[in-house]
Amino acid sequence: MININNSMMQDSAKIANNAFDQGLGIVDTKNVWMWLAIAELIVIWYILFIHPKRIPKHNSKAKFKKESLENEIDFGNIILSSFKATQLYNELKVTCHPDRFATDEAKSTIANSLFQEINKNSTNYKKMIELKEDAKRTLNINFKT
Amino acid sequence: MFSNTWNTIIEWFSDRSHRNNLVRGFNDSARCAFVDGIAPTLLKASISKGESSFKHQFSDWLNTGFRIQAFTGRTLSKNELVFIGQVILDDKILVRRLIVLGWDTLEIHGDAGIFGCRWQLKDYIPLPKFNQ
Repeated sequence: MININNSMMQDSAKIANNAFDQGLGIVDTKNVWMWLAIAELIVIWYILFIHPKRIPKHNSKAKFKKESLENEIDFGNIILSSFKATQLYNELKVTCHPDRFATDEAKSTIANSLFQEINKNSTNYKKMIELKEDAKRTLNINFKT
Repeated sequence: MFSNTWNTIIEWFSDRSHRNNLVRGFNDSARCAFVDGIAPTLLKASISKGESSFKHQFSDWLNTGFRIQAFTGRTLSKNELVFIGQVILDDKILVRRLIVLGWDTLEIHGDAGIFGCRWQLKDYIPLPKFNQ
């Protein structure tokens, strides 16, 4: 029986493996994944920063959407109007009615246009406050606080 | 084809973001108004299923309802619920924003009972015909 030297056998196996790998031309795979990751980063960078953005399929539709998203929405006014607009409107429609200024033609004209604006903005609290200030200034109305 | 798909994906995420910002903005204002004593009832906006027959060209494929519900505080009457809806519908900027972000239904609900009102948004903003 041949007494096999384990360390010699292991070294021999290693040498044989290396020779086998070199023969097959097996490439070190670590570098391949690194280059693949770099290529992915380049593609993502191109798409995010260089690729022409937003080629809209329907130009007029995209323009309409863009314009609609530009304006600021006043949520505070919407909440205020929901609960306080009715009371303010009821007050203004009485105090600014054109019939109250029938004797004064100039004031009657102003009251007429103000009254129309008040009716048009009966659900807009902020606008009605502005109209109330106009009425105080132009028609000399004293509102109850 | 690839650029259109990519733009559609980006636009979808952008719309989600705008929708959430709008709902959050409304809820923040409503909460502040309730805490300050301006509003007698706490209003809360959320996204609901909507009404499929109200669809328009900007409608999302799912969850097209913008729901406002009155929570704690004084119970609102039906007229008050209708008035709240009218206030929102008279704000053209808000209605346009709701439409282009995919909503087609406005719903107002009370906290108690089964009162609820529903409106078709495209009736309040005329949508132009876009070239195909």
